[in-house]
Amino acid sequence: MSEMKKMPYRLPEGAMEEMKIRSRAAVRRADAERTAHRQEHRWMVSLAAAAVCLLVAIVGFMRFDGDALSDSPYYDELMSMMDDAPAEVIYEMTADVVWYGGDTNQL
Amino acid sequence: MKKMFLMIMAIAVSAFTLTAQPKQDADKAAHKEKAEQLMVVRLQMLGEELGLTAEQAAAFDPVYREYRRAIGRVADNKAARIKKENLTNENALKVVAARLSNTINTASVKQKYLLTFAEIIEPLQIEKLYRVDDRIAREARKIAQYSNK
Repeated sequence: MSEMKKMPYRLPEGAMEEMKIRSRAAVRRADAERTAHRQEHRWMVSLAAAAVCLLVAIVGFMRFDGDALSDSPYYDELMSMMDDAPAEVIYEMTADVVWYGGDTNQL
Repeated sequence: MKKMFLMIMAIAVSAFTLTAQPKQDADKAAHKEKAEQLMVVRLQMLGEELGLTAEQAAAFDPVYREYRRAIGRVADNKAARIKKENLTNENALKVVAARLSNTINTASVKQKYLLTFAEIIEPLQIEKLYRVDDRIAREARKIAQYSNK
């Protein structure tokens, strides 16, 4: 109080207290924003990591093949030729399918 | 008048038959050609997948063709081709019976050819052969299912 009396200007009553309260509130707000950004950033990183893992899993599943036929150029050629083959020829090629075997698509 | 009418009808039917026959023959020839092209690529693929030597491939090719012809003969029940959306209470039993019959007959041919193939390729190669054939058949089925064939 004695220091304040020496100051060249007079502050209104309670001004210091008010300033302290406001500055504490500002610090709290700034801290909250920083925390929110950090959390948001963490969420985005987690989401990106999950997306990458999912993509890797999907690609891996598609490429995983007991007999690795998909890597054969002859397989690709055969599949593209089958796409525009007559129905009769295609049906002949389905003869090996086991009907009602559990994991087959039904016509 | 009646005789004239009958004569015109006879001429019309003959004309229709004569023009339809070449088209059917042309279609059959086109199917046969396409089937042969597919068989050539299929054999090349099998040669690669099974790791056949030139000697094995030379012995394998005719036997495999004969095997596919045998499968085609026993699995030719057209009732099995009816699509799911066309199944009714009236035809379902016939369709299921036809499909099961195709499955049993095909398995029987595969079993019969086990020893024939064993004279040319190793047992592990035979196992892989049947697995590859199964894969090709499933892809063909997807094509038949999704492309209105």
